[in-house]
Amino acid sequence: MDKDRHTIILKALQSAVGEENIEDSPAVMMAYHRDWLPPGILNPILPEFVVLPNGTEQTQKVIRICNRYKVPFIPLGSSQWSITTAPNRPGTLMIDSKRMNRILDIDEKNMYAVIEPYVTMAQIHAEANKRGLYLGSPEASSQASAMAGHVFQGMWGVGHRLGVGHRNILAMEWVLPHGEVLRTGSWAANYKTPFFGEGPGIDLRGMLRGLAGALGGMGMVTKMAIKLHPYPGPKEFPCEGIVPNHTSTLPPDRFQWYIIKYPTLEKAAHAMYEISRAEIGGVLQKWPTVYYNWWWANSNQEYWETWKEGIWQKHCKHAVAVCLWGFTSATQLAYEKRVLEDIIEETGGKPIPQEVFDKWVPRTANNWIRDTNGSRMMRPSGTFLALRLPFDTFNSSIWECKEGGRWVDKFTPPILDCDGPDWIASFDMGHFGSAETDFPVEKDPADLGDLMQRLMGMMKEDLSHQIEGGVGPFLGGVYHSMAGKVFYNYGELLKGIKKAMDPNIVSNPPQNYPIEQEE
Amino acid sequence: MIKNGLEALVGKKNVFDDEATLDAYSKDMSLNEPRRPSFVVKPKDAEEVQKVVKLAHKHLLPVIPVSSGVHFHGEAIPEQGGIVVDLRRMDKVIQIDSLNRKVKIEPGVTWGTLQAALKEHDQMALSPLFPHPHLSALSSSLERSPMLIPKYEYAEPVLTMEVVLPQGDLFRTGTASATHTDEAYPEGPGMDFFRLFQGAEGTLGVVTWLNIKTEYRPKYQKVFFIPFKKIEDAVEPIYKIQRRHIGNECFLLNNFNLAQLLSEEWPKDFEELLEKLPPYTLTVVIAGASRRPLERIAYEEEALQEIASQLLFQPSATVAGIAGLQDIMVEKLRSPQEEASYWKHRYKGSSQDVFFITTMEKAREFQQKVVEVSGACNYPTKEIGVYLQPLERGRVCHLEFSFPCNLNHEREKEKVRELYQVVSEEMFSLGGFFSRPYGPWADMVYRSASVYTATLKEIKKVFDPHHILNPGKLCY
Amino acid sequence: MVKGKKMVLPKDPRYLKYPIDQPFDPRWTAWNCSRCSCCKFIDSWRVKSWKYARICPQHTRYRFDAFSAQGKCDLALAVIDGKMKWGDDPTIKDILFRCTMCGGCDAMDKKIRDGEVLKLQKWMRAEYVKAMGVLPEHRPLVDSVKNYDNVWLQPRARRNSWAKGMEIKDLTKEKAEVLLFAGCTYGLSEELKETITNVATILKNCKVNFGILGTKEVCCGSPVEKIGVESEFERVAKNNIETFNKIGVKTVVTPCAGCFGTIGLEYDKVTIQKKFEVLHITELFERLMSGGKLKFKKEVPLKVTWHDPCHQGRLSRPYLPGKDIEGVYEPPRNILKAIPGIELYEMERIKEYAWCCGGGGGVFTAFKDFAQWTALERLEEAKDTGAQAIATSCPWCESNLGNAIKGMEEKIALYSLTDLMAKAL
Repeated sequence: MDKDRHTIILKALQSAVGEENIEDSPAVMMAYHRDWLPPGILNPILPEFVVLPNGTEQTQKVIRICNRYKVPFIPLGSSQWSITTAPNRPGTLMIDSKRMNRILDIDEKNMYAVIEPYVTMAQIHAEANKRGLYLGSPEASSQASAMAGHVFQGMWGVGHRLGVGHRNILAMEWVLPHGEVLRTGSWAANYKTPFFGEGPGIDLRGMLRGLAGALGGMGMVTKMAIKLHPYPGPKEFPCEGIVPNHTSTLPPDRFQWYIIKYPTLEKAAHAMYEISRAEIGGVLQKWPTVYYNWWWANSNQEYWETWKEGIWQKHCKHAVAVCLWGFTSATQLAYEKRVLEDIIEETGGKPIPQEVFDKWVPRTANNWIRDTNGSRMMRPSGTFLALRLPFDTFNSSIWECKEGGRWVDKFTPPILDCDGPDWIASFDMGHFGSAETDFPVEKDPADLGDLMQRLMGMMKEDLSHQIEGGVGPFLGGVYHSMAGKVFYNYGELLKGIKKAMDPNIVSNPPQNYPIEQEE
Repeated sequence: MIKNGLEALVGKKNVFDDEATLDAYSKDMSLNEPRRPSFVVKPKDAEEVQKVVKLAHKHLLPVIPVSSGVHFHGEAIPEQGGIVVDLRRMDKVIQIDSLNRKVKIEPGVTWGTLQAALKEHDQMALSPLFPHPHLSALSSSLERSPMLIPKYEYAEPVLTMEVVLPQGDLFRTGTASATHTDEAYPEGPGMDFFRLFQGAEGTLGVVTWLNIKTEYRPKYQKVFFIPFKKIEDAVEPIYKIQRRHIGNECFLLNNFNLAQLLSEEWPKDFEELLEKLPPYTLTVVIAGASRRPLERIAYEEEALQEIASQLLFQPSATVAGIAGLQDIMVEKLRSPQEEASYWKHRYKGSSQDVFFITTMEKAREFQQKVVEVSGACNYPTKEIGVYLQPLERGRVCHLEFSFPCNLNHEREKEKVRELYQVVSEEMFSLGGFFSRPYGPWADMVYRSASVYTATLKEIKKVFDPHHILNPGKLCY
Repeated sequence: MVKGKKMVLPKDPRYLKYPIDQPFDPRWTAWNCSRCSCCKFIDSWRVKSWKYARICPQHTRYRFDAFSAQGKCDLALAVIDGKMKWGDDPTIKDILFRCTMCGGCDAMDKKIRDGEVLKLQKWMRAEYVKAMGVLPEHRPLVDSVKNYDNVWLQPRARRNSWAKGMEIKDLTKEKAEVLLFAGCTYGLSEELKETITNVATILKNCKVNFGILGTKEVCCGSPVEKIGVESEFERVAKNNIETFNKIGVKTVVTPCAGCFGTIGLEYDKVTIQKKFEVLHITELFERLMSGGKLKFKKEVPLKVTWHDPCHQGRLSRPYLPGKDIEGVYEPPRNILKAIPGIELYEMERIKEYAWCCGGGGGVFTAFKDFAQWTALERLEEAKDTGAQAIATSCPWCESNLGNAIKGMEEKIALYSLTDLMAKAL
């Protein structure tokens, strides 16, 4: 950026947030230049400024300044991993939410909390647990921003009971890209009461998401009321031992894990259907083999040695993991155990060997209740990538897993051995299944570059067959520009909304629609 | 010329502009002023709907989509003339997907038809409280009518849909837009369009089919009736019951509403029931699941009794000594009445309902204010219906006050209209959230939500730049 | 495995097994940072409240991501790859040195990957010092070690003044099994003198065969190691190992956590092999308790919370990928529990995920405001347990926490563990 322009904007920002809350020195910018995805790794660009507003008012001032001077901005939550929130062009301003780190309210009786962007999942968990309440934990791990887990995905381990992240959003305070402050839900007309998310009338939460959210292309939410849920667990998350070998066992009269192996993916999905229709369970997942090792291994050596031995492949392939939760009572848990055991017998499932269960469960299972330690997915090779991320039913997930598996096999190498990365997760008591295909890939620029090309090719192929997903959710704008023409021209509607909300195209362009590229 | 054009699209016998028909579509069960459309058309499928919308667009004629045979809030009264598109010929239950627990319905499917069709598959839809027999399940779901079963934490029965957009293009939401899917998941493509079509009163699109969730229809249940003297006495029990995941249907009615509902011989039964019923009755249905149903009923009942002994209330198999009440209630809940008489209209022919969302601990405050205001307007408080529906496991509730009204009596209408306005404004001032701002509520809500309103208008411009769809509704 | 294909493994063998026995590769550690932010928070499984969820004082205070292990990984990569030089930006000094080197980031990082981010940060400091010189704020400290063999600019002759009249063996002249290494701070501070004399008294009363080096005791080198002056560290480390080997002790025991972590762990960097075990004094006391030689007779009615010094805890044992982040966590707790009348109240952040006192990494010397801020955070946490006192066993922790307490309105008492023990004997 031109030096004079930089100085003018810097002074404006200083008056908005205070001198000590803005940085532009190269060494500080260096910490914001990359993210987890290959484009961010392969083509890092330094931002121009990083600002720390302390709330809605200061955020609004910053965004208005960006509008005046046409400075692209990127809102950051915890920027854990960061997904399409590394600068993609020079002259970008990062709105870092670190000073917006408060839990503003917890209403225990009516089961909601009001949070700012830099409150982590773990922090809200801990406060909720004290009050007999709970919030799901996403795969990405719990030092991530709780709010970010609502505007993007929100695939909690307990989604079988609690649904996906978007269902959890109540009222919001949201600085739109053009600088106006929008309050939604029950906050829209009365700022005292954040307890409800819908409306008034048309529900503008619709603008905030799609599965992967607007990826910073729709301004910045500065306050969000979120649902909390009844929790039959202890006030403090039980944990024994020392990092990295800690274990956790929840009270057995209220929580019980099962890991049941099936011979085929179809049979596993069938069991998931039966479990859902019986309305039991807190967690219901069919993890790919690689997940068992990703979450469990405490070192690279442990990972690859057990992988080469084939322990996980042998015992956990097509295994269905269930954690029963005694929400009502211990009697309820006992009932659900009987029902589950009926289903296991009927569907031909077999519990994994006790020694494997004992090896894995205490060390790892409760990840999916408190913290998945998602970053462990980076351990054995430096990074991982994801294929499509469709959300639909268990049935369509089977198709996806097989297609995904074929693609992964085809491009192994450079994809590393992962035994068919077929993950089916249950949401809304089995009304939905998601089928994410994650695979380890070496953090080698050549490999990453090659795979990105192939993923883009796959995405184009998908679109030609009107298949949704691909790397789309993680590319956002670029994808919507292509896919928008395929799926009932939604791109035009998205473009119209983006134009209306972001007339100066400053909110993390090209998210969530690449207007400037098209025009 | 326009009429000829419409007739060419949907067939002559499906286009109406006679006085009687226009008059019938100019009003509803609310107190809103009647306003006539220019035409009423009855298309048979989405393609015809598209053509009608395109024609309307060409002539800048408003389009008012109608799916139900009854409306209560003025949402289908044309504000600026135009074409009422009555979708009730599209009345198929298109697909029942028991495996994935969803059903695909057209606009003309009523709750009664839907529940009957689902019963054969041991499924049921998540219906509102004893819906009117002519109420469209599709529009009811899109309008976010409160569900009876708060335990479905994830709420939101709406899944994917097909929509004719204001300029006549076809659109599908969620995974219905793509191939290799079961059309189940609502989010996307690109953003959550499904949220924009909900609560919209038909202003952003005409929905031609909708997938909604279904659940297992229990074969075994036990219904408990819990009497309370005051509304506030019911609140703590509901909080605790919901927190422990007990029960399916759970709702609170006052004696007036319950008497209307349960009366067989009118008015004799009604007056007796009004005397005998406790001021408030909480109905909790404990239902067996598809497997080991009686065991589930047992543990939930055990938990309910624990709460009852802590909080000193008494769940019973009946109330006011009514024989067989459990079976009566289950029948009413699961098989919506098909007969002509709608329970809420039995007293005076219509019911003007003021409803909003709040948290349960505030119920008393609202109820007291209603009593105070009604007294000041000389409206008999014993004729006010009260309905409290816990939502999302008791996190919030839909709270509703009903004022029966004889629509053929002008003075009474005026009186009730005035009362309705005052009550609405008082509830709003106390913090009631009118998430469905029908009729006069729209102005009340949107004038206090300036940025929300402005944003809605921007969205409207994107979808419907010529304001074709149902102008005059919400903030449009 | 894909049919018909060999199992495809990473090409870089370091992914298959972390090269713990090979020379440290800073770029490898920096490159494999995935920006997960685990280095900023305590282990999520251990979070008990919103208030006490952070692990990194630097990041909590200064907020910008550059002030974190993650940020330093980015900076390291930039310098190594030639995109930046140490002198390009004055902020680099703050990024590198406004950090207590507490290792909280390192411990939490090890939860999710094989890596040594603290080592990376030490490497960065050393490289910075080579390129830009010692920080002016640290210059007096370095000169003091060079010229006086201690960090406090005190004459060598004062080193054993605390031991006057105690009749303790001089190991430059006599033999013993155990060397009591006082350390610069306990050995030279008037304020903390009572602690070292209590240590010696207890050892004597337990008939431990020990001695001291007196005026010949040389700084362990911890401060110079932390601030990047590698050459000076190597000098004192080699000197000390040779001396300890020469005097033939089986055990070197110290009450200073800094000395303990340095002699016990950091001296492994030096090529001379140690012929002695290294213990923290609390470990020896615990052994004496278990052996029946140390018994507490008097009541000390007090609600106490224990502060784990970083160098006694997570920075005291060698790293082995996949193994516990071990440390001397239990011995001081066991001692406290054995003292009649003491009720132990645990803070939320303890052991391998303890919050730093703020006194380490050269921060105590160079950035007093930050040192005090960090200490106040810890003291607030201590008060929130309901305890009347905070106890620890490190003179840097005691000094820094003590200074912060002076400025507090509602104070909490501060004790060295040994002093509490002395009350009970």
